[in-house]
Amino acid sequence: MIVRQIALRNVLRQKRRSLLLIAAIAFGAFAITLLTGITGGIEGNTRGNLTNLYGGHLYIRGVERLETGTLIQVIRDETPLVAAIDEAGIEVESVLKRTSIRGSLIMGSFESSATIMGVDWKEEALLKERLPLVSGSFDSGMAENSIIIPEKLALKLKAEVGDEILARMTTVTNQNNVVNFIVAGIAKDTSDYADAYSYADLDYTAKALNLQPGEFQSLNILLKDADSTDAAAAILQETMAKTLTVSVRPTTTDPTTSTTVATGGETVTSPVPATGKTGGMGGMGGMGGMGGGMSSLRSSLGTVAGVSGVPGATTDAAVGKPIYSISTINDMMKTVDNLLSILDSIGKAAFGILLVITMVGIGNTFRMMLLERTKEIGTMRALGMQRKEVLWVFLYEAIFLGLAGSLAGILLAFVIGFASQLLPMSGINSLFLLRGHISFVIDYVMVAIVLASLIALSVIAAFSPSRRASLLDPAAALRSTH
Amino acid sequence: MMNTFKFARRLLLATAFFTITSASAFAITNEELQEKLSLSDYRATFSGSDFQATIKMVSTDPTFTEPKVREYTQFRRDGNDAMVMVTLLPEVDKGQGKLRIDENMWSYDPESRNFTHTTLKENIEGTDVKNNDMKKPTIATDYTVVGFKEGKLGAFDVYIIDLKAVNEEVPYAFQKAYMRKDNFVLLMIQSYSLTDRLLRTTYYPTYSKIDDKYIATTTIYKDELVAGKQTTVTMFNISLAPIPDTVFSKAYIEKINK
Repeated sequence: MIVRQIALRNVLRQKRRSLLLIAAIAFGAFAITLLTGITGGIEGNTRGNLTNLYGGHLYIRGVERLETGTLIQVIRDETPLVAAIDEAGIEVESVLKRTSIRGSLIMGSFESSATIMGVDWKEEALLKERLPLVSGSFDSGMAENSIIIPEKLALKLKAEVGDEILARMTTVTNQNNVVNFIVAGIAKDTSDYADAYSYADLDYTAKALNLQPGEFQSLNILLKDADSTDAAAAILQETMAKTLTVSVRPTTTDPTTSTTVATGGETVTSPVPATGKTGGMGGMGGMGGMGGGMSSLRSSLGTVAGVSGVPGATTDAAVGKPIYSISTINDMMKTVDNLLSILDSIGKAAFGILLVITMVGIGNTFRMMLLERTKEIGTMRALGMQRKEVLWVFLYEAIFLGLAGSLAGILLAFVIGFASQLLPMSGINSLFLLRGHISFVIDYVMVAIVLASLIALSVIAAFSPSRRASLLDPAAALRSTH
Repeated sequence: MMNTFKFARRLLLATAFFTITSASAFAITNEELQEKLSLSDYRATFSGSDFQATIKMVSTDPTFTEPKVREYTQFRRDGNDAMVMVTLLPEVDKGQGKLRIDENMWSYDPESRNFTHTTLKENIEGTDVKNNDMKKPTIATDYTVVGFKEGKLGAFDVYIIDLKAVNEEVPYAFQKAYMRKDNFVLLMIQSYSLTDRLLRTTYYPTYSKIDDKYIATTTIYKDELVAGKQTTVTMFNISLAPIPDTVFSKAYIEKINK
């Protein structure tokens, strides 16, 4: 007890020096806690935004070869798929049909690229809930050709509720087409990513893509437990393969690797997945200045969500016999996860460098302390203090400094992190944001690791001078001129 | 009196007979117009020789502050269905190239030194011209004549031919071709969507005739959905001289950028 009191007194005695050491340790703790909190928030927001955007965690898409040889993305009959979902026994919150049109919206002389999601409004309660409207409504006058457009797009087109706008696109076979829409609502820009998305009636968009009534492009499954996504995808794939032709999900991150097709227990491998035609004109551009990583994300989003390419569509596809593929939110998240892991690695490397510098600082400070307190150590030893107790006086000082520094840094990170949630963010792609704000998610395991590692490293840095202090000869120490 | 009446009746019948027979003798059918479209395709296809020209594209758009000008050198070998286009203007895109062999098309970026596979249905950079428009015309094979009427376009008597795509992969589901009656040269094509809305009008105001070939030296592509959006394509420095085989290769495009 007396040892801890002496250690605490020593810490408080040299306030300035202690504060500097605490500040150095706090900076490291602050940086790594803030970084992990923000990357955690980005990961969570991206996952949440994508789940809302695509109406689920699992996406089943069908690819069919036409007699002309062209591959198109279409699901003509959902019955066998729904039966497979039931048979697989996965716990499902909702199963939604979707189509996707990429093209441009035109009003007068104004034209802007856009992606229109075809949705079944009767089934899309979650979408309606997550898509606040600044004007218009989902319910009043939702005609066949009604469309909900995001605020920024409305501004670009100078469109208001009730206006007629044209949509220029290509059909599933890449034929030019144009349809008209009436703006039924303008959605608040809660997400920059979603702001490229407009929503319209499923059947009307299917018709625009030159699909027959009742046909659509993807069946999106919202699971009750998002953590079971990969397991659910594996079970569903196995179940579907019993009766349907299913393109097995690539296990590597390289989408160009060979694709295996399971047909009622048989598997076929195609060396090069063919790119099919799914409708749309491209022209979506980037995702708001996020660089190459975001282009890659765009590509993977397009691929997985059924906007552009058709991974898993194989050259083996027979005329009129669909091949189904399953993708998941986790497939889409791979690119985001890669970006975040790079950010995380950079953060951890910087944290490591900071730790080394701090350790050197702590070590030097303790060496100075040893010199300054040589006489004091001699006196304490002369009064009966044991070597071990001298060692622990120094080590407790290091523990107190490490504890105070890391706690201060962590607390400061919490304050800054939570305060940053209140500020609206601009210039950051809102796919990463929650309603335009950054999220700060505390990773308690990481916090514990930071706390423990900073205390441990402070002790390690201080150990050598502490040991030398404990080994001082009392008489020699008393004779010391320091 | 009776004889006069009989004579008049006979005369009337004879006139009607000659009118009907002569009209049917000169009337044109859908099948014949299909053949005229094949003739039009043939006249703009250079199967027996190579084709080289400088192509200038001037695009206007309500969002542009001034017209955008692009210039290319085009090499065509229609016999092999091959084409190469090398960008001359704007300076910033100089050296970019396009290579088409059959239905495959690649774009070359000299900065990244990479070829990217592209589709014939994509528009050429910021213009209203599709890659498909730069290949040999195939209107007669892509479309079937479903009807026609006679009319006037400016000073010319024309057939206004209703065309329907032979399959769902032809870029436009329906077209209306305005063909001169005297020499069967196309003056204008209106392209419609699947929903039968006019999407684009293509004008061919000037032609150059070389032997039995007709080359549209000026073509105007007008976007009918966005007012004020159009691209005017002019061709000059036309040559039918042989082009070395090496030109129609990726290596050539890479080489000119070294």
